[in-house]
Amino acid sequence: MMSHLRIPALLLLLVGALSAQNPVEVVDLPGNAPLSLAAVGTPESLRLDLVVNPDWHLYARDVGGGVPVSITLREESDYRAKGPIILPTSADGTLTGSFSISVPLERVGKGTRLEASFAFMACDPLACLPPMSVTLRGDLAPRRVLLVVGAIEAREKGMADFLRSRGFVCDLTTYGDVTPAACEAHDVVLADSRLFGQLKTKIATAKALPRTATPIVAVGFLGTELIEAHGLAMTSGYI
Amino acid sequence: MDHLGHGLALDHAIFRRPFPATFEWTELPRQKEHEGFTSPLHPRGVGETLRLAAFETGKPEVPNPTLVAHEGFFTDVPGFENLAEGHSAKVLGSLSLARQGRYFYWGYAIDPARMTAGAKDTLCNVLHYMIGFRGEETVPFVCKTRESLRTFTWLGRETGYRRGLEEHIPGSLTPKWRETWVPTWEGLDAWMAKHLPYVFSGKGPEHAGERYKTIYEVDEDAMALGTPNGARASLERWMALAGGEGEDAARARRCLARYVLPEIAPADGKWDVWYARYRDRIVFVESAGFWWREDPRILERERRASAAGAPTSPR
Repeated sequence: MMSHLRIPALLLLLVGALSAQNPVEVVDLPGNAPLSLAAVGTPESLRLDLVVNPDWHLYARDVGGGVPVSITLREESDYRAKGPIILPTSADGTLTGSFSISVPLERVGKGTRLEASFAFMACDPLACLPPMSVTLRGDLAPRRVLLVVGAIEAREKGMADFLRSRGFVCDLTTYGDVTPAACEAHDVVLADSRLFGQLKTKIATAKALPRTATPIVAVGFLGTELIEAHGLAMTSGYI
Repeated sequence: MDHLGHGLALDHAIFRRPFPATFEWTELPRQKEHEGFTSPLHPRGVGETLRLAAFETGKPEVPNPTLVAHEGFFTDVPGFENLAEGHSAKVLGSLSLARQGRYFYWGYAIDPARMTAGAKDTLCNVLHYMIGFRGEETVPFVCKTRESLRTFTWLGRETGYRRGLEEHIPGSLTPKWRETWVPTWEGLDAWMAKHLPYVFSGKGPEHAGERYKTIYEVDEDAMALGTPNGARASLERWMALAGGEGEDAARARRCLARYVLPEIAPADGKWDVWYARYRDRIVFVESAGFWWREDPRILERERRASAAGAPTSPR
């Protein structure tokens, strides 16, 4: 039976899975660190995914020799730790192979900037490397996607709902209605296309998608047309 | 192109962050159309089998577009990222996921009812990835690269399609060069070997047509000098000759005018001073009009540094 203590943790994980998972940059990982490290964050949690090389280990807790892993939120960060670091279970106090660690966050600043450091000590059966530290840096603001479609029907609403379920703020509009201001106001434009012959808009209307500084992810048949119309080589080989 | 992809650049961020993408894979025997060919994501060709990732739950009712991305076709754009090939019955080298500047091409459905779990994660990663490219500059598209002429050589031989040989290639040349054309496979090989390194387009109305949008010409100056027009060694040779007298110097000056973008060319003709300043900043891009021009990646880095208040261009 699941303990009472585990329920909040499970809820936290589920909420985390539904919130925007923003990439967090890992800065200055030493070249001799025997591991790979990726980080993602939400306004509620920072997660590190580690893969420690075979024969090497980190420390989950003080076992009398190595320095345990730690995550420290820096003063300039708009977030601080809301609770202790969450580590995988380890009977002998070491961390090996692939695993994730996380720390719950709460926003304390006016912005959405995350600045943190991750410290660890890596050891093999014979010796330890000096303690190492990396910087973790990212923007945890929800990402705003403008989904541009031929016509807003059940399929298109389902696409918007899917993106929202992955933590994006998603606004839905049509090729006929989209404006330059709407594009500029979003982090990325997702320009949809149904299959050729099933389009819900004129090709010329899709090609007239505003030129914008906002990145555009162009999909399928209409995507080839609008990219070519915007003067890029990328779809010049379309056949 | 159907619902499958291959040659995926699985180490790229779009397959890893923030959602590690996991695909269902199928393995099929190498297609006959792939034998003897390479592509940007299969630089050594396809092995005995082709490993395919499913992006959609089944084959679409209507094929997705096929974007032919053979080496040099338009992948000479600096910073171009070719991240997956679509499964095409026609050819190897049909890109399905790619980025140029602030544009990303997604060649599959984004309907969650059709997307596989791997495609859903990848699409979300693409959206996160692209957010970092706001305002990103790239080079304009002016004409197809010379590689599109070569397409008709292998396509014709593979399929017996002779219209490329007899109609499309000569139709894609300026009138003078049509007269040099011998419409046989042997004639094609000989013409390509002799002329292709000196082919260019994109300079004026004579290089654009109604039926064949890109019309190619052969550079007699570059050919006479033995300087293939896209090679850096040729640029350096033209600069070395340009200050002299005689026919070779005149040819070199015409080549410099033809291939160094006017906006960056030296007004005073001091090519040595110009090259010292531009050597590490320029690239030759056929699809942008067969020009030596500033690398958009460098310009973009400088634009961002300038916006951040850092020192900018050495110019």
